Amino acid sequence: MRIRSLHLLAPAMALAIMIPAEALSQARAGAARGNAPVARAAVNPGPAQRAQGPRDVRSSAQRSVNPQGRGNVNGSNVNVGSGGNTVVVNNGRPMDQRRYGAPPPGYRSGGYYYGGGYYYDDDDNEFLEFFGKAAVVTAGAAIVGSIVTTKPTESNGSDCQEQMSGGQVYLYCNGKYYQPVQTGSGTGYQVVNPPPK
Amino acid sequence: MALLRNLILAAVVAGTATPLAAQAATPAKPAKAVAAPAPAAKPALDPDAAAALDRMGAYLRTLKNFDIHVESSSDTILNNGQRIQLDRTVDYAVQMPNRLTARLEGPQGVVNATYDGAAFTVAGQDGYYAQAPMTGSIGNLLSKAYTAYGIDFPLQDLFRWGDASSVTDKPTEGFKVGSAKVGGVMTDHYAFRQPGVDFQIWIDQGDKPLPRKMVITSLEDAAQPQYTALVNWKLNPGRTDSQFTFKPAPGAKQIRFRSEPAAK
Repeated sequence: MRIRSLHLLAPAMALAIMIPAEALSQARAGAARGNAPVARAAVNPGPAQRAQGPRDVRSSAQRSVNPQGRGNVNGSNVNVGSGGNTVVVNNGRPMDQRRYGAPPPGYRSGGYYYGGGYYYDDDDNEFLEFFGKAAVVTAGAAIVGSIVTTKPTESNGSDCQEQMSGGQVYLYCNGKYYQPVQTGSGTGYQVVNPPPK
Repeated sequence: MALLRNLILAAVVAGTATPLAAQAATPAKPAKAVAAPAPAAKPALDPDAAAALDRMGAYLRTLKNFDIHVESSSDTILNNGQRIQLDRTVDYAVQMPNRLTARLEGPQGVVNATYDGAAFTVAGQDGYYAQAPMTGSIGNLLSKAYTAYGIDFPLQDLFRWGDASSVTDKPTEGFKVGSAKVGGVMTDHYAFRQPGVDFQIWIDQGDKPLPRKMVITSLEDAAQPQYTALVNWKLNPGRTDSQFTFKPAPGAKQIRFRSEPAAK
């Protein structure tokens, strides 16, 4: 998706944006600090423990001075739902992952694997919510209720089989049922129980 | 000059000496002091700056029908402290009290939100849309959309400042930075502080004090990520009857919001 109107922003940005010197030096210092390598997915999944990667998102700017209905000030980066071992996933690249709390056992990063695991997408840089709370994934072997942000596909890359049941949309592939759900950052795909026969 | 300095010194000495004397003995008459009056401390929130914000809010409250085009750049701070900036646009069409559409375009694509006083709909471009019943004012929509569905509308202040019923925090500090030309238009530039957030606003000079630019600085993170937005207003644009009612694209399917429970 092309990002339009950047050229309109450019002169205004020149006026407005002054990245404080402290932030720059902090960034450099931070890069030296946060150099833990991110574990890549193994072909044969093992119980890998993932270190918090240097390119995980730490925080985002809030988009309103007075957002309503918030408990905390940092409104655009709220942890959703089940805190603790919840992991936010936007795609498979370490840069695109957001983490709240300790990584759950068996959590894996990177790559694309299936067969008991959950799906990552190898897309590029869509790593942020831009319209609300980030989609949340509960890590673990595709347990019912977990959500991924990229459309699951069959292992050979073809689309999942779409079904309607009881007026609801279901996607079926790789032995699992998904339902597309609307999140603050676009469509997510939630693992659900099979539709009633 | 030396005389004045000596007078001030004398006043200081007299001032500091008096309390000690009072403690040491029975209360004595305080020494007469000739001193320059201390300048009154400047209030942290400059009254003129506060008045400018109020004047803008009062003007926004008179607007019933408007379009807003927002171009924003927003910081994200990675764990290693690196700052990434993402650009997005938002197009709002608003008809008070309870009609709104928003088109958000960012690196992830386009999302359209619609509110017609009866239903709130969010549609991506992938053939799915979610819809839920919703009533009440736009302020109510902004809150409920977030608390119930996780939808965070950018720059809600543009609506809250214009909503007399909305309770917004008053800044604790503020001052006028100066005047500045933004996009060729003369504005007054103010900087305010509230708990956890600093913000700057550039307000059009003249009889239509609209915000033309905002910079919101989040203080929760030491890197202080910023959200910068250029705002263009179109007042009283033409409207069509069905503009605020959601129409699904051909073949689009309805899905649920993430926070709604899955079917049993």
